[in-house]
Amino acid sequence: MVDLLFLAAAALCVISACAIVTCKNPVYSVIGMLPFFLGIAGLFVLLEATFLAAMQIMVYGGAILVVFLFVIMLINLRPEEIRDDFSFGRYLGLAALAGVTGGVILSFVRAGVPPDGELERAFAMGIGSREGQEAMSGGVLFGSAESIGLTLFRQYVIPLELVGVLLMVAILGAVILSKKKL
Amino acid sequence: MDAALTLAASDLVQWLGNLLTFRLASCLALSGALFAIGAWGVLARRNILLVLISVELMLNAVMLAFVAFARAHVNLAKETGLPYAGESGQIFALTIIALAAAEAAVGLAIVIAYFRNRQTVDTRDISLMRH
Amino acid sequence: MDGLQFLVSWLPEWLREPGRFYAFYAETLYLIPLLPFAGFLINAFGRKSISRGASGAVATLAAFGAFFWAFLSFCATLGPADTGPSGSEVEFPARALHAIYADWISVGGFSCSFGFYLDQLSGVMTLVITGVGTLIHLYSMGYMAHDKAFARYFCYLNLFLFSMLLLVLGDNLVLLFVGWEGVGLCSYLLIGFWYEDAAKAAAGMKAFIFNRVGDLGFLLGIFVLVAVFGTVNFVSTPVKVGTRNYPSEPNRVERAEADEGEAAPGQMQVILPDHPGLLNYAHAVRVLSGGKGLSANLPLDYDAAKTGRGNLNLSDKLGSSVFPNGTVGFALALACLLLFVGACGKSAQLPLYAWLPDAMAGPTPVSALIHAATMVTAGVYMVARLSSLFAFSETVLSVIAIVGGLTAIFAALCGLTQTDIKKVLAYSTVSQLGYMFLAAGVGAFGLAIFHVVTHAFFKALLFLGAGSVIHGMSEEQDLRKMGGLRHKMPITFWTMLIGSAALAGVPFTAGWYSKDQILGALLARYEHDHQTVFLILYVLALVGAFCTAFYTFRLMGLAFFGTSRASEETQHHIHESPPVMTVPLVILAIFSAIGGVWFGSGVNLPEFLGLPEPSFDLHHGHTLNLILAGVAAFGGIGLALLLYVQQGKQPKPETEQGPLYRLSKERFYVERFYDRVVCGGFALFAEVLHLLVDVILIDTLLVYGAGGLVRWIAGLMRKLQSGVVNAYAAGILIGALVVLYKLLHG
Repeated sequence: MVDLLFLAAAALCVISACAIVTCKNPVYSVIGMLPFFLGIAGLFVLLEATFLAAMQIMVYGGAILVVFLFVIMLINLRPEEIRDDFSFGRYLGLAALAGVTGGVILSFVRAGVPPDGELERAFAMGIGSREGQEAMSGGVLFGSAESIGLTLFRQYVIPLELVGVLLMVAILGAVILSKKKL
Repeated sequence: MDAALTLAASDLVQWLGNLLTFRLASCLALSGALFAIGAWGVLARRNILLVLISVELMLNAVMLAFVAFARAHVNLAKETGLPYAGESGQIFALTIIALAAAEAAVGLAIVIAYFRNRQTVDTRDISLMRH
Repeated sequence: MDGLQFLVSWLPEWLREPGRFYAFYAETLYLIPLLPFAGFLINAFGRKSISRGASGAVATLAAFGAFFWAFLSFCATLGPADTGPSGSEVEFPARALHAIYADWISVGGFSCSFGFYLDQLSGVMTLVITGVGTLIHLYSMGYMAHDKAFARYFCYLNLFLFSMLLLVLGDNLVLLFVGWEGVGLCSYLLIGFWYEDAAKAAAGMKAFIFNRVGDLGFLLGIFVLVAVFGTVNFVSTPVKVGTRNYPSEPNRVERAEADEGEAAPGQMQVILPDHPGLLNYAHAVRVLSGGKGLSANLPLDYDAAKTGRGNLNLSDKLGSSVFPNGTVGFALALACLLLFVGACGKSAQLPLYAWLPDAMAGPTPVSALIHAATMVTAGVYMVARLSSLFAFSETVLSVIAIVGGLTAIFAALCGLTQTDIKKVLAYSTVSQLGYMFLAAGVGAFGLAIFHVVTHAFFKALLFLGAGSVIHGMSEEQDLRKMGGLRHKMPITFWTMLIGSAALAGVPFTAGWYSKDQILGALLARYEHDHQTVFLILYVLALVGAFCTAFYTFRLMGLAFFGTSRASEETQHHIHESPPVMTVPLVILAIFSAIGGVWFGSGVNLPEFLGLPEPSFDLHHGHTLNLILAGVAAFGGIGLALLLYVQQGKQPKPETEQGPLYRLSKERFYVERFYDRVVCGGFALFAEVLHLLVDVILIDTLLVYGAGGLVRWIAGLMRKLQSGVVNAYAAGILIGALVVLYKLLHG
C-alpha cells in the first residue's frame, strides 16, 4: 500500500516536473507547479514529515506559486514575444547533461547506501514502529508540529534567528528593487 | 565470465526492483531525478522566470532527500544504537523552504526591475557580462 | 689560589660557599657582552640627544665595565677543580663557567642553546678584548675628538665589542658564528666609516666580500660537524644546582671494575654525559687512544677507538647517517679544513689576506682594535677552541702550518717597502697572524694564543702610536714626508720604540717570549720527526723574523729620526698628543715590555688553557734557536738603523727602484692578479650570465613569454564568455559534477 502511494506520488512529481520544464507558455509551467508541490507534500506525508508537508503546501503552493503567477501576469508577454525556442537537438543535449547529473546522484545513492547487512534493512522505510519513534523523541510524535517546534527552539535557535534575518533582508531587498526609481 | 555477467545482471534487476518499493534508496533516486529535471530546466529555458521555477524544482528535490534521510535516520538509530539526532533533516528542509521564499522574492523583484528597464526577460538579451 | 681567596673574602656571606660562588659568576656571564651592547644602544638611539663627551664616556665605561666583570669571572675560573657528582675523577672540562640562558634552535634531533662558556682560553681572549678595547676606547676619545660622527663611531665600536665577546664567549659554534658575522659587519662599518670617500667605502666592501668567501667555508664546516656529531655545542650542558647553572657536565674517566659493556675489567673507560659536546667527544677519543700526543696518528674511525681501549659507544651517541663510521675521520678532516678556510678569511691568511691592508682606510684606533688586536685573531681563537678536533688530522695541521708560514714570509716581504705608515703595520699584522697559525700548525696551540695576547699588546700600541703620529702630522700617513719626530713627540716615540722592540723580538720583551718560542717549536718539531717541511718553514720564519725587525725599525727611522720632510705648515702644527691618547700608549707599552714574563716563566700553557699538548718537547734545540732568532732580530734592526738612521736613506720614487723593490712594493702583483683574473673572470662570467640568463632566458622567454602565453590563452578563453547566463549555469553544474564525482569515487 505504502509502496503504491509512493509510486503514485513519484510519478506525479516526475510528470509535472517534466511538464514545467517543457511547456512553451510560462503560465502553463506555473500551473504545472501545483501538482508538483502536491506530490512532494504527499511524499513528505509518507515520510512522516506531516508538519513539513503542511508548510510545503502553504509556502510553496500558497505563496511562491502565486507570486510567480502574479509576476507572469504583470509582465504579460504576448505569445509572439515568447521567443523560447524548443530546438530539439539542444534540448536533447541538455537533457543528456541533466541525465548525467541524475546518474551521478544515483551513483551517490549506490555508494552511500551499503547494499548488504543490517544497514540495508535499516534504510528500508517500513521498519520503524511508531512506539519506538515516540520513545526516541521523548513522547512527542515524530515530524509533528510539536516535535519540530521543540527541536527548532531548543536545538536550532540561532539558525532560526539567522533565517529570520535572511527573510527580513529579502523583504527589504524585494521592496527596494521593485521601486519605480532605483 | 558468463556467470559474472549474469550475477551483475541479476544484481541490477534486484536493485531496480528495490527502487520501486518505498525505501531510502528509492527516495534518493527520485530526488536525483527531480534535481536533474530542474537542472535541465535551468540550462535549457531562455525565459528567466522559468529558470527561477526550475531552481525551485531543484530545491524541492534536495528537500526531499533531506526528509528521506531524516526518516531513515530514525530507523538507523534504532537498529544500531547510535545517538539519535531528532528531526534535524526536517529542520534543514524547513530552512530550505525559507531560503526558497527569500530567493523567489528577490529574484522576482530583480526580474521585474529588469523588465521595466529593458522590456525583456530573455537570458540571451541579458548579456552585459560579455564585455 | 691566594688572589681568589682574597677576592672571595670580600664577597657577601651568601656568596662565599664555592658552589654558589661559581654559579653566581656563571649566571652573570651575560653581563660581559651586555654592557657594550647597552653602550651601543645608548649611543645608537641617544646620539642626537647626548653630548659628545657623554657619548664617549658611556662607550668607554661600558668597555671598562665589561673588562672589570670579565676579570672577576676569569678569577672565578681559576678556582680549584671541581669534583664530579659521584666523586669519580673528572678530567674534562676541568674548570670553567658555563651558563645556558635559553633554548635557541631546536629542530628535530638537533638543538642549540644560547649560552656562554668561560674557560681559561676564552677568559684570556675576553680579557685581551675588553682590556685593550677599553684603552682604545679611551684613546679614541682624543683621536676622534674633531670628527663630526663621534657618537656613530662609538656606537659601532661598542657593537663590535659586543659581537666579539659573543664570538669568544659563545658556548656553541652557531653562536660563535653569529659573533663572527657581527664583527665582520662592524669591521665593514668601521672601515667605511668615512663613507663620503668612495675609496674608503670600497675598502669596506672589499673586506666584507673577502670575509664572505671565508665565511662560506666556515658555514660548510659547521654543517659537516653537525652531520658527524649532531651537535654544535663545545661542551655538554651544565649540571643544574638548584635553579642555578653550574660548570658543564663532565666526561668521567674510570677503570672498569667488572665486565661492563665492551670494556674488560681494568680497562679505561670514558663515560660521556647525556648531551656531549664536540670537545667531549674529542677528549674521549684522546683518552681511549691512550692519551697519545699529536704525533701519534690517532684512530680516525671511532670503531677503532671503541674496541681499542674501552667502552665508548660513540656510534650510539653519534646521530650521523651522512658519514658511516669508517669515514668519520675523513669528514672530521674536511670539517677542520673548511673551518680553517673561514679562519683564513677572518685572519687574513693567504690567499684571502688582501682585504686587511685596504682595511687601513678606517680610523686608526679601529685598525688597532679590530684589524690588529682582536677581530683578526678570531680565526686563531676558533682553531684553538676546536684544537682537539684539529689535532686529529696531521694533514690539516700541516696545511695550516704551510699557509701560516707562507703568509708570514709573504707579508713580511711586502712590508719591507711600504711607504704608508699604516700599511707597514698592516702587512706586519698579516705576517704575525701567519706566525700564530704556524704555531697552531705544529701543534703548539698554547703558543698561538700566547702570541695572540702579546701581539695584541704591541700591535695595538704600534697602531695607536701611528695614530698619534698621524694626528700630530695633520692626517699625513706617508713615511716619506715624516722624519725627526722624536723630539716633538717624545712619549709617542718612546712607547713606539718599546712596541717596535717587542715586534722585532728584542729579548725579554713580550714579543720575544712568544715569537721565539714559536720558532723554537718549529725547530723542535723538525728535530722530533725530521719532516723537511718543518725545516723549510723554520727557515722561512727566520727570514720573516729578520724582515720583521728590518721593516719595524725602517718605520721608526723614517718617522722619528733624521730631519723633517714635511711642509712648513705641517711642521708648524706638529704636537704631542693629549694625555687621553698618551695614557693608553704608556699602559700598552708597559704590557708590551713585560707582558710576556708570566707566560714565559715556565707556565704550562696548553695545560693552563686546556688545549692539547704537543707531543714533542718544545724546548728541544732551544739554544740553537735562541742564537739564530737573536741574530735575525738584531740583524734586521741593525741593518735598518744603519740604512735609515745612520745614513739617513729615503725611499726613492718607485721608477728609480730595482725590480725586487718594485716586486715587494707591488705586493708580488697578487692583488693585480686578483683584479685581473679573479675579478675579471668573474665579471666575464657575470656578463655571460647576463646575456644568457637575464636577457634571453628571463627577459625574453620568461617575462615576455609569460605575458604572451597569458594573452594567447586569454584570447581562447574570452570565447567562453558568451554572456548567456544558462551557459554559465552549465559551467557551474559541470564543475559541481566533477567535484562530486571525485568525492564519491576518487
